[in-house]
Amino acid sequence: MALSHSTAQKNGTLAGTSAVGGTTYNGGFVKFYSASMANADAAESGGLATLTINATAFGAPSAGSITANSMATATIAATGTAATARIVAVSDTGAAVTTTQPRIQGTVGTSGADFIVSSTSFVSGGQISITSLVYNHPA
Amino acid sequence: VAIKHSTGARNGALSGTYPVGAPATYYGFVLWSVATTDPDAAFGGWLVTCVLGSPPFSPPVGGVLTANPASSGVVQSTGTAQTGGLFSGAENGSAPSTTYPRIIGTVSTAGGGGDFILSSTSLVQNGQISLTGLTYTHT
Repeated sequence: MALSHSTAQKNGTLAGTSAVGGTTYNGGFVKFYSASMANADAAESGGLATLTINATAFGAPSAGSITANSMATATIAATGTAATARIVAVSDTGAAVTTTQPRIQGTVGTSGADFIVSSTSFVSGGQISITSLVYNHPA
Repeated sequence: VAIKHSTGARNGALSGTYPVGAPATYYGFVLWSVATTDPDAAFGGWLVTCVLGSPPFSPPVGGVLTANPASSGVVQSTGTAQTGGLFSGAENGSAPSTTYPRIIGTVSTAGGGGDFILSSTSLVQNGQISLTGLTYTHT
C-alpha cells in the first residue's frame, strides 16, 4: 500500500516547513476511521479512536526512517470496522477539506496495510495502543 | 524506473535539514558516464554539471517542485551519460557519503524510460547542455 499525504504535507516536506520528523506532529493525533476517505485532504468521517502523539512525535531519522516516541493507550470511542488511519497535527480538527493541514493517511488492516492492527473490529469502550509507528522515506 | 535518494537526502527530508526545495539543499544537476544505482556510493565518470538557479526551485505547488532556469553546463569529457542527479554544493560525489543529499536517476532519450530525459545521451567534450523542464513530485 502507499500512504497518502495531504497537499500541505507534500508542500511542507518539499519546502521544509512541515517536515514529518520535525515538530509537525508533536502532540498531534493518530486517528482511526471506519470510512475510506478519498485522500488526505478530504474531511474525516467515521471516527473510531484517537491516540495522542507524544509531545516529541518522532526520534531522529536514521537510514531514512523515523520512529514515533511512545504514545498513551486510548479508549475506543465508537464501534466499527477500521479502514483508514491518519496522522494529524494537534491543530487539525479533521472536519473540513483542507490543503493547509499536514496529514498522512493510510489503510488499516491485519496485514498488507499501511497501519497493521491486531483486529480491525473496534469496540466502543475498548482500549487501543500503538506499539510501533515507523515512517520511511522512499529510497 | 524510480529516482533514488541518498541516506542524507532521506534523513534530511524527514528532519527538515535538507528539504528538496530549499535554496541551500541542491546546487547542481550532474551527468555521469557510469551507471550507478546507489546514491550513497562514490560517483565516477563526471561529464557535466549544470548549476541550478537561485533559488533552484520555485515554491511547491500541489506537491510539485519546478526548477528555475539553470546555467548551461560545459561538457568536461566525451562520453555516454548513464546517470544523472542533483548534488549539493558541498561535495562533488567523488566519495561515498551517507550525509550529503543526493537524488539520482537513470538517463535516456525520450521513450527510453529514464528518469531524466536527454535529447542525446552522447555528450561531446566542450559541448554545452541546458536543463529544461526539471520537476520533482512528492507522491
